[in-house]
Amino acid sequence: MSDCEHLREHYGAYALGALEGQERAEMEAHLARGCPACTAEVQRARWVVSQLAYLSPEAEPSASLRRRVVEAAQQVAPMPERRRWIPTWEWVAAAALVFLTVYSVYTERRSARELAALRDEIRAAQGQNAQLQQQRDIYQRAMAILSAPGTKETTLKPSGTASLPAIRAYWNPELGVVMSGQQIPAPAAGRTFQLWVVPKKGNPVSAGIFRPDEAGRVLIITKAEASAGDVAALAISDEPAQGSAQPTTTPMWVGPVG
Amino acid sequence: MFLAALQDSGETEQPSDAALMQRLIRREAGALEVLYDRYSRAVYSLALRIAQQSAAAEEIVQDVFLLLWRNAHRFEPSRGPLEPWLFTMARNRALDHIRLKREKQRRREETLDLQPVAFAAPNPEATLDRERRAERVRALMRSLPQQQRHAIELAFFEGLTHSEIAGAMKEPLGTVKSWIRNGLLRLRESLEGAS
Repeated sequence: MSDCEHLREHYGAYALGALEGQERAEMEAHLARGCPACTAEVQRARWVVSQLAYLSPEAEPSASLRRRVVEAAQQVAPMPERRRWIPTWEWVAAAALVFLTVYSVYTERRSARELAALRDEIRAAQGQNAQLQQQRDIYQRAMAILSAPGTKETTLKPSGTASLPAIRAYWNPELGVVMSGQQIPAPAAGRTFQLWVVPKKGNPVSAGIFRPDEAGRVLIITKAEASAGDVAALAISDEPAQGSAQPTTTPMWVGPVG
Repeated sequence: MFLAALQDSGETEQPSDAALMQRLIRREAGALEVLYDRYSRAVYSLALRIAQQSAAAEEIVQDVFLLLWRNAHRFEPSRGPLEPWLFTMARNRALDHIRLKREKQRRREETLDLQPVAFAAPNPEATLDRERRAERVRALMRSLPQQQRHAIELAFFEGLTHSEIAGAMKEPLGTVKSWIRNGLLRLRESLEGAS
């Protein structure tokens, strides 16, 4: 039985969000490979599921909500323009949006020169359709981490007294980390955030530096540091702009990986 | 053809969603008001059904329409009609609300809920107007056995997975999967049938 035939019975449940475990992972992995037939069927299923909204008892919002929405709209700026997508390539578009909204940089390489070169490479990728393949690969990496059986979820909580939002992360010892947060304050000028993989024995290992975007959002997709061994926690510290070989400040966020 | 897909056949005197989205890109607040008047009641009804709190539901409605306002230039008719996008955003946010309230773990899907998703509605000629679609959804669900209907509602309004539904209903997992699969297939056939 082909993958498509095998997955056919799951389109509705996947669109509904009821699919789970191995079945969900198989579906996501298959869609991430860009199967046009299954992508189209899932899109149809999503539309059907959306129509279940009409089962809701009809209710009327307060009259003041309309005014509040319009007033609020006039006070917020539009999101930055993006370049045009290839319309039929759904997964590439999804990957590109990930870039535009929340992109951050990660690398095991620590030298300032290498980091700067990588940033330039990513900026170029944002502006050029020729780089869409790279964006798709990153998105697929994220999907692979999120759907892999050994992936563990953790919440990095602020370790100090400062009022900071928690940050959610998914760790897979073989594939890496996907980390996402919102309303993250920007580090001070000349400073950066650095993500650390903290092994049970030995020193923390850098998983890259990053800054939140203008809206305070962060999405990290980084490779695993194989040398980290058994991992006890993920941590984020405030470091000089170039990053540090080892943490130089007390971690601002810590999340156990158990 | 994609623009035509956005036409609401029941409101031929009204500007299409696609035309309103173009005006939204030009920052015309009047277009937002028209879209709000068109969809806010349905979006609010859905948010209220899930969140069970009027204040939370209104906050969700505001979030959804502000997101639409801020991201109008990212809306692409080729990714499907506006209505399911609004419903899906409202549902995800309302489910987020109740999950956080229950201190349940957020699932990975919500982490990426700003990613664009696409919807494929039937071709415009086969698309019923909203009122008739709503009635077909309600009629089809009424026609299902109570247990099957309940399983689908637990998934849609409570955000439960197959196994969670099986646990809540004390029914075999395979039975729950079958109920959901067959129920959604029947709904699809009903909605995609000629008007």
